[in-house]
Amino acid sequence: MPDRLDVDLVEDRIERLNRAIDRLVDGGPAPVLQDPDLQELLSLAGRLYLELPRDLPDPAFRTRLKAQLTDEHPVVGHRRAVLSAVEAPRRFPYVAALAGIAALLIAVAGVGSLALWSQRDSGGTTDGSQLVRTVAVTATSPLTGSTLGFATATMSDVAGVSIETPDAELSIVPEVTTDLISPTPAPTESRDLPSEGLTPGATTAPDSSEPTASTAAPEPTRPVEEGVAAIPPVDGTTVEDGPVPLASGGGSGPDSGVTFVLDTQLPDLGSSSLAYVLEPPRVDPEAFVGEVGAALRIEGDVRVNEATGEPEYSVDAPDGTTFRWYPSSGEFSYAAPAGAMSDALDDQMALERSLEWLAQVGYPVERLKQDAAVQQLGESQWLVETWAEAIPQPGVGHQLGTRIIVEGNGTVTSATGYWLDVTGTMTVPLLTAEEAWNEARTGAGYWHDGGTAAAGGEMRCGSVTLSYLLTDSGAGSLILQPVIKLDGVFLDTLGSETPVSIYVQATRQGGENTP
Amino acid sequence: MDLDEPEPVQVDEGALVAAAKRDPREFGPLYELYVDRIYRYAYRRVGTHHEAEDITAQTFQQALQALPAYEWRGLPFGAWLFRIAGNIINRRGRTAGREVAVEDVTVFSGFEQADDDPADYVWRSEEAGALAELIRTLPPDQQRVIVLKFSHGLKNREIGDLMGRSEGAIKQLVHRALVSLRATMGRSYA
Repeated sequence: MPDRLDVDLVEDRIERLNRAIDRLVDGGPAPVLQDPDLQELLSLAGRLYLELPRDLPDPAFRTRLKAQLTDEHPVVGHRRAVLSAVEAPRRFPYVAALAGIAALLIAVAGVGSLALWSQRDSGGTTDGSQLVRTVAVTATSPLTGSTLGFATATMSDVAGVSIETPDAELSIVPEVTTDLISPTPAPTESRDLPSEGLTPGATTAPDSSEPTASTAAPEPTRPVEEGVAAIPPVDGTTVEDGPVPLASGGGSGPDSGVTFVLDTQLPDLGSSSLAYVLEPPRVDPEAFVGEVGAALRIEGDVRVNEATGEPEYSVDAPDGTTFRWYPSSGEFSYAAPAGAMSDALDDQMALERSLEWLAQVGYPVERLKQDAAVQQLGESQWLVETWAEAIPQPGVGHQLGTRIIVEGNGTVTSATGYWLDVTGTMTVPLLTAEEAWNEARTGAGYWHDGGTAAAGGEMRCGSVTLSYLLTDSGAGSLILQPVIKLDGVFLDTLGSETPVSIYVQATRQGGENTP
Repeated sequence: MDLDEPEPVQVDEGALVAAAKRDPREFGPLYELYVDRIYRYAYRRVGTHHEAEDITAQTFQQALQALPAYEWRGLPFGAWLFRIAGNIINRRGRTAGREVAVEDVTVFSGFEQADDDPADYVWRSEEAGALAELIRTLPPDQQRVIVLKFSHGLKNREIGDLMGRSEGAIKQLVHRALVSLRATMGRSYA
């Protein structure tokens, strides 16, 4: 055991060293220590102070984040394979999750003939790959007014029946819908898929440049009182490209150094088009995420993260399953462990599973287009994409709809999308194609792909069309606005040529809009 | 000890992405490849370590969540990460009502232009890069105290709060870390 004197000496050395370091980092004159060993350590400290960047991450943060990202994602399947459940009688998704549903079940028992569990009609097959449903029974959330879940029953079971739970927070009103699930499809029919969508690898994403708002517009749900001035600009700061940016990039255009060449005739794009106001459901975000979490059986508290500016509400399970919701933009994302490997799924079943998942979380599936795209990504993974109905799709970023990854075992491992309502439309006057071209030549607009233009180059425009972009109004809503899209190639100063698209705001500023 | 920076290792990012898509636990190599750069990118733009940590964490969490849908197109994986981080910073600035400088959001073609400079990829100087590599060989608590003390410029008391130790314990840890680092360097720094 060291004697007291040794300890005191050591502590004194440590104290002297730290005092000298503190003087050093406080910007005082470089201290000199008589002890050569301490002076050497002080020199090393000085070098660290001078040479280490100020933007190093805290190693503990670095390690902790890595552990969170990699250690909390077990792969071995501990989650129920959904396919087997599809073949078994499927239960109403909320039965196990919400106590209030128990009251519904009691009520159902009282009705007698009403079966809220999935049934197969006599005309259905029994192979599990094709479920025959004659109607969907939906549960409606008082929070969002949207579908919380659905079960199946025959038309005679539920027609005209309305049930409410005693639970004041959750009323469940069965309603007959025929648009979600078409009656009694033949075994080989694809319910919602376009025929080409059934081919692995094929996608049928709607072309944003094809339908103009004038032809695709729904009935205005609420007139917009703001004028054209409410339309946000189109640039690298306003374009909303989704819950997670896609691999391709975009941003504001270059200030200078780019020459522009027009290789096409400028078309007549019309004099006006529609712009859409989209808003997330006006709900208590915490309650909303809690509700979705319960539906997904994520047992955890709702967490709120406002540190990055846009509030994020999330609920996480210990196994890494997480649901996140961004109430200011209506974006959501979900991730879950993959579970055991299996390739027992096919396109139709992947679509079924996706719709089931969406309904489970209460996503308003009735507002989706009836066609979806299913793409097999690998041996045992499918990407199912859906699009919101009756509005054009943005030319950049995520579609206004959902992207869901389904594993071969039926597990939904990833889901992202927008959860938005169309709350208004307005007719806006348009720039001409020539005016848009001139705008682009000033570096205006949102540039997508095309390589780095910082060093200058040449943009050769080959086509000019009308398209749409989703932009942030900065006032709690998103504006899906018409834009004029200039497609071409960008030749950089090194001679490489890459495709480029420039999206210029199409709305004529200073014009009159028509709600 | 040779302080020259090691030759950059050529990494098959496509293979790393494919592995991580198969098994999220394989996300580690991609994380290691980019976490420092994403952090630095965030720190330079928001100016505080606390916010940079939030943005970095959110960036990687979003990337991991979206990885199954990520389409490898030959662009560096980091381009995607920078775009995610840029979006998070944009939204933060937008929500906070702050004006976002154009250069902060210009991630044209997915590349953060400030990071296009190869000399800027790792450290500001080769010597600092080598120094940082040596620091990474120290025990975790010694690494941390050096970074918090000399990179972040925290006082011993502040470091103690973060690490759950007394100010005196931090002084000892600083001393130990410097002694360890000197030993690791074989006194060749002098």
